[in-house]
Amino acid sequence: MAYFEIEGLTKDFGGLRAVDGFSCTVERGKVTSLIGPNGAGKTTVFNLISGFVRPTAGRVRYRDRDITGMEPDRIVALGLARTFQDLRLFHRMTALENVMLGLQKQPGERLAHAVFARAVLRAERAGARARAGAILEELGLEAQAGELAQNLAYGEQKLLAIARAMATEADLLLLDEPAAGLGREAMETVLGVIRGLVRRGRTVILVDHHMEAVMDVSDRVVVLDAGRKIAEGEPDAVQRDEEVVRVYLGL
Amino acid sequence: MDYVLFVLILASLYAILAVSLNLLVGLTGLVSIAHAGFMAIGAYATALLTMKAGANFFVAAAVGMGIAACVAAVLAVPTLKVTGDHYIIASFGFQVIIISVLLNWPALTNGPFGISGIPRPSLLGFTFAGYRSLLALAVVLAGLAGWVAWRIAVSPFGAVLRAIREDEAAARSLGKDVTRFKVQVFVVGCALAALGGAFYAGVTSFIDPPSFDIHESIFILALVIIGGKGNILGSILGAFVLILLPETLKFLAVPSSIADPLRRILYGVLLMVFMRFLPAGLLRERPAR
Amino acid sequence: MGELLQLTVNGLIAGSAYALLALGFWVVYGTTRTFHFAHGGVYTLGGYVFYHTLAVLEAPFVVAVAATLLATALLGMGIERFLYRPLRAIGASDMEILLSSLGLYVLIENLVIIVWKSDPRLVPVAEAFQRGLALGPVWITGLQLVGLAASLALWGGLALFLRRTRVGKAIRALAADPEMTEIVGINEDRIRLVVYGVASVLAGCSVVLAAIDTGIAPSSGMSALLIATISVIVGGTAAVSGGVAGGFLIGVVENVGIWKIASEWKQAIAFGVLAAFILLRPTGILGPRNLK
Repeated sequence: MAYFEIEGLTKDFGGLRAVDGFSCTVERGKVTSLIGPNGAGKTTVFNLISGFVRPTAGRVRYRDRDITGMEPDRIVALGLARTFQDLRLFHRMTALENVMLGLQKQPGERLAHAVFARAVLRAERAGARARAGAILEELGLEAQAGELAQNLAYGEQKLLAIARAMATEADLLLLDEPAAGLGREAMETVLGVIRGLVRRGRTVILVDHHMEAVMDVSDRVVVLDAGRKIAEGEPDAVQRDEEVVRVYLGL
Repeated sequence: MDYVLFVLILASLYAILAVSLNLLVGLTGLVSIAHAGFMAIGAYATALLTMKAGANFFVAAAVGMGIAACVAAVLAVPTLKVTGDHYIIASFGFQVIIISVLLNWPALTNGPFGISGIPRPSLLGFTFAGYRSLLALAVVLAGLAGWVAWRIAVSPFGAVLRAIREDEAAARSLGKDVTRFKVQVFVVGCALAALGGAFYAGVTSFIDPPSFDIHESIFILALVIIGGKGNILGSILGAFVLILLPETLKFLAVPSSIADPLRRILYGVLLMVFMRFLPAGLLRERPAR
Repeated sequence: MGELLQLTVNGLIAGSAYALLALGFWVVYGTTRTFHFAHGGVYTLGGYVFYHTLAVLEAPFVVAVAATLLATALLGMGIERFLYRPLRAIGASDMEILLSSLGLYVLIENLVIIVWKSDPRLVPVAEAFQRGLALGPVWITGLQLVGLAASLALWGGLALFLRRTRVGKAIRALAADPEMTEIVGINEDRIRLVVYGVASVLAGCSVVLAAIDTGIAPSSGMSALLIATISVIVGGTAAVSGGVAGGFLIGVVENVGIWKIASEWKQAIAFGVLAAFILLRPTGILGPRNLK
């Protein structure tokens, strides 16, 4: 039983085939990267896996469970969480509040409990705040906890998005362009976070354009072009693959 | 003096309507102009049950709230996929359909003639006959509605509503069952509107379909916006300001035929002025703790 | 059977009126995505200008129509220039602009009540219009024929305008990609004024036809706006024809519907159609705009 398996995933948007028979297996506890030129369909694959877009064909299996076409919130409950390329932070909430929203199974999110269980709620919220705070601390954002998300620097916002996904305690994290637009230092921080996740037994799939970063942190690389997988393997091998080089440079 | 009491009662009534609509519009971003329709459900249920079945006011009101909750639950489902402008039109639709039913089912509702002679609320032998006791009841009910709305607003449930308002996809990506949250808040909001309607029936003794038409819905929306979206106290403030302010017109010896339109012009102008200069409303939204 | 045919014809007549309403609303909504609630106010005020000029000032019909179209155009453009543009300039959200529009609608409707009172006003109409003609098995009045012809002509005219003229193309460019238009050198503000002018003139045409048929009342604008928005949503916002298709569909369903359902439920039927579309085909009859 593979930890995470994509089989023949296909997506048509009207006349356009964005993803074409994409198959791939992801090993537990490793970092797998999905790379490819712009428009290759990487983010679409993420959307298909995480339940935001329905596939035209194909299957997605996570821990031996068919999650194809499942609603995003149910997929998160099963242990798979994602970030967005455009972050989608809750800008008018603080960093801490953003992370707290990632916490799962909060009793205070049930209506009756929210209205009537005031005393119990206070203790629960204190616990939630502590857990969220710990995650922020781990990512070096504890100083920004009370800041509105929209006031954070870009690099901090990217980390916050990852923090929020980490709060779901998902075992498998899909990170969409975690390093994009970051300076050297910020990028190192992000890569460090990813390594830290793996050290703790989590699995990461990431999409990014930063070749150096991707090759540095990945255990396995999958290359996509025009919706189709054209190469797959260890970073060194993929970097030297003829087809990959052609696709990236020959345009 | 009676007149002042009546105005205060009215303000408390609209406070109930405003805080409940704020849950939908302010917290969750569901701009509904159907609130008066749900108010009507509560009013008619109360009137009919107290008059035809001899039920106690509070029991009838509870049943009215239950009916409104069921209707809301049924109506919520199809509109969940709908956003923004489409949602407003859909809510307009509920409003029109509810009023159509009230107008066109004379056997049940007496159609356009309305129902008169609705008894005042009573409890364990005591009847809330005078304005003083009605005001006390009004304040209690408004306090109750305000408290429920406030608890929701400051709770984690409320935080999820705000997240949904800002970015539904992001909320989904954090495992929130957006559908459940929207349906639940819609049901609570509409049930509270029905409570307001029930009380309205008990106070005014006469109800007819035009009392609950689209203009009422827009008025309640204006209360929420001017009072401050997402701020429960703001809704209460908005209700009192917008009910009391036009009453001062009465002292300007304005003929009664133009009093109503003038009052409406006032809140139409206030809407425009606030959107231009103070879009957050009188009391801004404060984050949950 | 003859009854059904008559009802269908009635439906097409009504549909043509709805289509015209939808055209006016779509010109703003389909191109700038602004939910111009105050459009209902433009409609209502236009109707009263028409009534007042024709019935009270006893001016000639043509003068009344001209006055109406002028009034609606000025009001519509004024709303864009003095209400929407300043709001956009301060970064108001769509909801804030909508609420402003709503407030203005309330203002206009109640001003109308103060000036002209709330009972409906009838407009004196030439005898010729009201006479019914038999076209085969169906009855149709002169006015209905004129209305049908006018709707179709205006639809065609608008389509040509959008496709053939420079201004029309600029409007379509604005609809497709607002950011590009400034770069390409199109003055967005000026185009928007044209958009609102055209939409308001269309509303003026609609209300003139409706006023001759059933008179005018303060709430006329709200009803018209409702039908217009439902037609546009049902038909699809991608192109002009969407609202037209929606309008005809609703007109026919409403009128054929009352064959079996009591006529008081007419308005509810329109919403029923809307509900069906929202559930089953949210992008409308025509489907979605082509995305890049």
